[in-house]
Amino acid sequence: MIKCFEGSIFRSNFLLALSAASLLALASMSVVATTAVPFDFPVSSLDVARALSGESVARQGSPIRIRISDKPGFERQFDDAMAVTIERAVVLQGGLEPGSVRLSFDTGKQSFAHRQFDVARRQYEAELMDASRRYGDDKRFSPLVFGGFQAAVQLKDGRWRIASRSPSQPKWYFSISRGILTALILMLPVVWWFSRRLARPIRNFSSAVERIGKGSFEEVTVEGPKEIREAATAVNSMQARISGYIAERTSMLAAIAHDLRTPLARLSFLAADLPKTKKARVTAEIEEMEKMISDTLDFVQNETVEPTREQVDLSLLIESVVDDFSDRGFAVTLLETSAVTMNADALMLRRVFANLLSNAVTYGTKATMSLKSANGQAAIEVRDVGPGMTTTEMARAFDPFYRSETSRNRATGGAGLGLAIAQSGIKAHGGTINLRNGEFGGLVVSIILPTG
Amino acid sequence: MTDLPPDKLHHVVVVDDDPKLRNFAADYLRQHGFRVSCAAGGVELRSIIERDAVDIIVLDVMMPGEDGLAIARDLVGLTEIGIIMASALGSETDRIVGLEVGADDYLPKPFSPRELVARIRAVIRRRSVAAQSTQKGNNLLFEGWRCDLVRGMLSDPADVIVALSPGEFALLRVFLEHPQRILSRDQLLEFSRHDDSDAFDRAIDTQVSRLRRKLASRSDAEFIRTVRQEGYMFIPKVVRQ
Repeated sequence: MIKCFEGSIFRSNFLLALSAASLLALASMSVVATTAVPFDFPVSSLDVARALSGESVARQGSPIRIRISDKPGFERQFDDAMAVTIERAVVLQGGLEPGSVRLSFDTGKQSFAHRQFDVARRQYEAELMDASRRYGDDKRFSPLVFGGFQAAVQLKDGRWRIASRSPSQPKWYFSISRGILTALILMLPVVWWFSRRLARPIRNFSSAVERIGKGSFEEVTVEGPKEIREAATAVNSMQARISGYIAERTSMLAAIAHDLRTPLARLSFLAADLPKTKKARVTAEIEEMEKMISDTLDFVQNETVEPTREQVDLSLLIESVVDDFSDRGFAVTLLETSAVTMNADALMLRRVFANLLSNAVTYGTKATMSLKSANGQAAIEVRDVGPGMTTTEMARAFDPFYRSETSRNRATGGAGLGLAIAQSGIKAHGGTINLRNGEFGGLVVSIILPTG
Repeated sequence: MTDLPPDKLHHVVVVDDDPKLRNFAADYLRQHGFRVSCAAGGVELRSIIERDAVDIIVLDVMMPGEDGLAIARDLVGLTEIGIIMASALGSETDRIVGLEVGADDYLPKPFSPRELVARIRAVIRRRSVAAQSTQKGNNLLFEGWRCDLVRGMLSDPADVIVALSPGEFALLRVFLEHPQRILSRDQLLEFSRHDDSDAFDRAIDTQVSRLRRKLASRSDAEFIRTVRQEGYMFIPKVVRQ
């Protein structure tokens, strides 16, 4: 049984549908084979004649009911040749007054059973008409009366004796319904189990792929139906290729960094001999290049390396970054803080906040930071007093290496990675980072971090 | 220091596969009062060590053949030699790996010449202090707190990381390396001037009060006492591990 889940989904589905259909057909067939004749036997015109004459009638299936009434309650149906033929036979056999008997198949009830007997009657009609033409005057001619009918005869006192019969629902109708229902109930757990077994590897596969989509690499288990096994193998080899590319990219960036940093180091030794003003300018250029290199490496690292997790006092961490900036002469203030510790990579978060503050002070000259915490979440805001950003700039601001004409990234002189580094660092901690323009101008970077 | 006769000068060996860089660095260090040798790799370095006393090695991490980490690992047993790793990778893990193999300091390229000199002096000073004490290790413990010099991290007794700004960390390090001694503002300034960040020169008192407040926010003990007219003293006993 387990084996069939390793075949293709096509085969499994095909087998499931086929076996369900076969089971239902089997149920119907067994009901048909074991149930008695499916509907009430017809009565004969003699039975009707005896009933109208007030004589006893044998019981077969649904009974013929007799009552006396002032009115018959229905009309003769001259257009129904069958009814007319039967009326004549009843008159002859009951020795009744011709014209005193009326019979109708229209009992006013339109149940399923009535429609079934209409069909039977129509089949019988041609035969009956032929018999009636040949020996309709014979007193022994007893046509059959299928299904529901009502017949009436006027008595001497002017009242009417009415005989009526309602056919019961055909038995097979219930039996088959019951059979199918039983089959369905029996099949339900089987189909449920089967579908679950089929769906589980697909679900595992899709959640693995979803996790991969969010940026983690993991080996997808090769299990389940053939199609899923093939897809899992394909995803695994794709991952191997991508991580190969990333490793290649990382080592290439490291190589470039190495190759650039050595001449930069040479330059800074050469600059040491320059006159003071020139030296300061050259050193500034060297520092800017170094920042581009280290930003690139930071970004690559955030993207590729799992953060280490340790208990960190978040408020003191933010304080230390703010203090460092104000030590270095920038107008940065911590407006509000709230004591909270969280499981985090202290260095990575520090880099995030340092990048945001560096962006804020370079582009917005002055910056404020705040930390609030409630309900297992820390909300951090970095505000500056710069001109903010247009909506189009905001939409692409987090893209690595993105720089628009008026981009704040260009103003920082970095590689256009400040916000990308911040975002990758926050994402690695399961948080979110958003940009908006402040009510009083300036850009507001708001971060939500789960603190556990 | 520049007035010392050549045989009293500290002997620095610059190991780098880039010939121009090692010559530039050597020239600069000579100007600043060091005796300097150059080596292109592990083989040349070892032959220098064999025939001469060496105080400090400035060792490039990424070199063809035997890389800097392997050389450092090999040389760490020679306790009289200080090792400063210089690396163009400059990432945090790279720094930690460099220090964990037992190097005394780690310098990301491109370093400024002044910083190189400052770091060399700091390592020489620290090694002379450390030579007096028998304790070794990169963790400084006090009152349940742990200061990890390799990773530049301070953890409180509950193992929660207490982040310090670079200035505050440098200051704490000076206190931890000179515990239970009165340190004047000038001493604090001189010992903690690890690199040439002039930000730190500004306000030693501000730094001290901030450091004090951060320590106090996670503990009740008294750590740094103000000694009137004289400076500051770090009260707890410090154990190196």
